[in-house]
Amino acid sequence: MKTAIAAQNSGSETIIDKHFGKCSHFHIYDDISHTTEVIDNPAQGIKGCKGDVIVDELIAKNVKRVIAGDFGTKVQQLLNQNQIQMIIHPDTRVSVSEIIELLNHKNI
Amino acid sequence: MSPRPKNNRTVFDPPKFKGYKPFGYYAGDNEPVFLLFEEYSALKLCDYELMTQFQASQVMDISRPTFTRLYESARRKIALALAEARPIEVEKGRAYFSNDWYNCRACNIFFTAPEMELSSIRCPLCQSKNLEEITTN
Repeated sequence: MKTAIAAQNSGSETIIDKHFGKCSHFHIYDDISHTTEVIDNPAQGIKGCKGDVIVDELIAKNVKRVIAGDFGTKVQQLLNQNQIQMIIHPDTRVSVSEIIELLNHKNI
Repeated sequence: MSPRPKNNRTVFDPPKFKGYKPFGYYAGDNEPVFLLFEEYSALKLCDYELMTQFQASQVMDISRPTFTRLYESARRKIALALAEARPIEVEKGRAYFSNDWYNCRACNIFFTAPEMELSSIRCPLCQSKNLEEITTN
């Protein structure tokens, strides 16, 4: 399963972003191949609702789960319609590598 | 004549806290102020997501005047808590969640579980089964 983590920059030690739509990068982790792909937020620079652009991009990459500090109302509707699991991590000091470690632990 | 029962208000995500407590000299054992889930949601939509009251009322599936009353009530309760140094506790009201949310008591994350059977739901990060289902009665 692919998991997209909203992050503040492209490095693996970066922390997760407080807001799904406003993050700068997405780290897409594949727990089968154990690889991480980093993509820029496709909706950067768009004013207003960014949800549809991001969700289309994540569906194209076959992402089934997303992690962020918070989700906007409209993007929640879109993710729900597309059966993508949302995870809200209230502690936004946690790094992307720590989350990947937790996701990996599951598969042991 | 009894009043018409209240309709459910659609809420998207649960508050990420159980309450707030003041600290300092006057913050003794004051009676808490109970903030409803839908009041928290109204405040978040208007003052955090910066929606207009009309847009927010459509999101919550209630009429614009009802939304205004809800928003007013939320602001008054928060003002009361601040002015009288009273703790705030969140409480289930007439909120209806558009998604089923779960709170992992072990790692304190919130998550949805689309297309999953109730018995097979575990925390996606720590695999704990110590979960709280956030629903409204």
